[in-house]
Amino acid sequence: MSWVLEAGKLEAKRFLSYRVDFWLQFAVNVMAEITVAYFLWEAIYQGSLTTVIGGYTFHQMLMYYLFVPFVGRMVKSLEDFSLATEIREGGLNKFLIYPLSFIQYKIMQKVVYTSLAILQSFLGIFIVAYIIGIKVNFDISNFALGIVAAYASMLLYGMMLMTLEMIAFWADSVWSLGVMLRFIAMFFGGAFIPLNMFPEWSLKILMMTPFPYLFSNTIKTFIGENTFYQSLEGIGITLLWVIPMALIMLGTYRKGLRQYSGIGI
Amino acid sequence: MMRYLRLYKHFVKFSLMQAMQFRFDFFFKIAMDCIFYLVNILFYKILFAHTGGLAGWSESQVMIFLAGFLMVDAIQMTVISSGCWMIPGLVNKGELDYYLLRPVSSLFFLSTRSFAFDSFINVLVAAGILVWAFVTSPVTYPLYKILIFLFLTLNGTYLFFQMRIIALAPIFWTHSGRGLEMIYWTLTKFGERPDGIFRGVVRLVLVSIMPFAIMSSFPARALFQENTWEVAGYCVAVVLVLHFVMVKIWNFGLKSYSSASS
Repeated sequence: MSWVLEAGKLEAKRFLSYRVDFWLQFAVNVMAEITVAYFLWEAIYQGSLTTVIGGYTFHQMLMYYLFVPFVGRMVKSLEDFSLATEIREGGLNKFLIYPLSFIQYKIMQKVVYTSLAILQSFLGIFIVAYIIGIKVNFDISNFALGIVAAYASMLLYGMMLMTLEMIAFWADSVWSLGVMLRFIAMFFGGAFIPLNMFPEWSLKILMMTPFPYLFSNTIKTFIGENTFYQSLEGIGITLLWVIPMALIMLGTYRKGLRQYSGIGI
Repeated sequence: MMRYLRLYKHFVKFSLMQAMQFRFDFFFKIAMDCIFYLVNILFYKILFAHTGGLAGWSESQVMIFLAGFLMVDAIQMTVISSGCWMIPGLVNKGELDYYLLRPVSSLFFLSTRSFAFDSFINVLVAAGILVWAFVTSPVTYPLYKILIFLFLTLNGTYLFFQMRIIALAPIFWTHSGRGLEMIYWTLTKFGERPDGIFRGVVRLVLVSIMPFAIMSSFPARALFQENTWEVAGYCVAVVLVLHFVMVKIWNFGLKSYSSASS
């Protein structure tokens, strides 16, 4: 497994090779998302007759949205649709010849990117919180559990995305499927609106799906909304969801390989 | 003008042939946009379950605003998005020559040559959402206001295009992957929400320097408010000024372009 470390280092260098782009995009993205959320929720709380919406005060809501872009980056990880491109253009050939697994390599890429996103977040969260005037209660156990939850959610999201990307074995261009997954996962995962605000009946259905374990559970773990045991339970359920998703992904990969000509388009 | 229309007819014809070659992709993209529309509608539906109004707009008004925004998105995806997406690659590889030699505007040729049929289906879906928003609205709007709203929505689409080209232009000098385009896409988030929620400097920026509010919020304002003509006049004036800025920047960028051919 020593190749994993070496390849991981190379990947980290690659991601950081355009450092200005990496940090600028990150900063603009975070600031834009939080600014829009700030004004939107300020207007909603002003238009509402109550000071608590979906169980959140305005301050708690801001805290939730402060973590959304950071957790989003950790969980979505590397979303460059390179897996589909490699299948489509025949780039998979080299992985079939090299003594390393294509799937393991792709997962390693995601782990590296998520690790970088976590490092960015530690810096970013406190800077942004200071700018918009929110006090972040830094609880080491919440943050430690949050990081574990983020890696688990990244695996779950990664398995779902990789399965869809593998449809490239049969279809020409599948990036739109990945974008579809992003919309659905972010909406039903609580990245657009906290799930507490969804109607009760829909929440009951949602909790039977993997979506709440993609973003909502991780955010709630970071901000301390989940108790220690709720966080552990959330991570456990996330990992349980990873198993069937991984099996589906591997099944699709094996079936796809039988179809793969290696020529590319 | 007729020459441009004839040329555009050919672009559409070729694009249709291309779209039919990748049928899976064609349907995937339609489904992707439909999900985007659904998520946006559900987003506001859930918000309005917890509040009576959003910056002075009722739920039905926000739905009309949203439908206008979806129209802008669908039209730009249909007409210019694919073409604009290819511009950085052509500049960086020095392959613009072919387009610069044509006896038509290079900006027109490059940005409109790829007509996205899948997104065209979504224009129809977005138009359906717009009709639904008007039909379910408890207020009946005068016809002239609806026509101005539709005109300003098209005006907003052109503004979307102008700002995208301005964001792309730095590639002439930086030769980076996509110029400031990714940042531009991030900033479009400001145009996805009613402008009334923003205050202070942010609002000032959104109606002047980076006029994302002109895209969908101001057309809706022209419909809902009394000062329709003032709002419409402002939107058109901003687009005219930006057109001048965009053409100047594009031409200035072309001067820095170096061809790959000998």
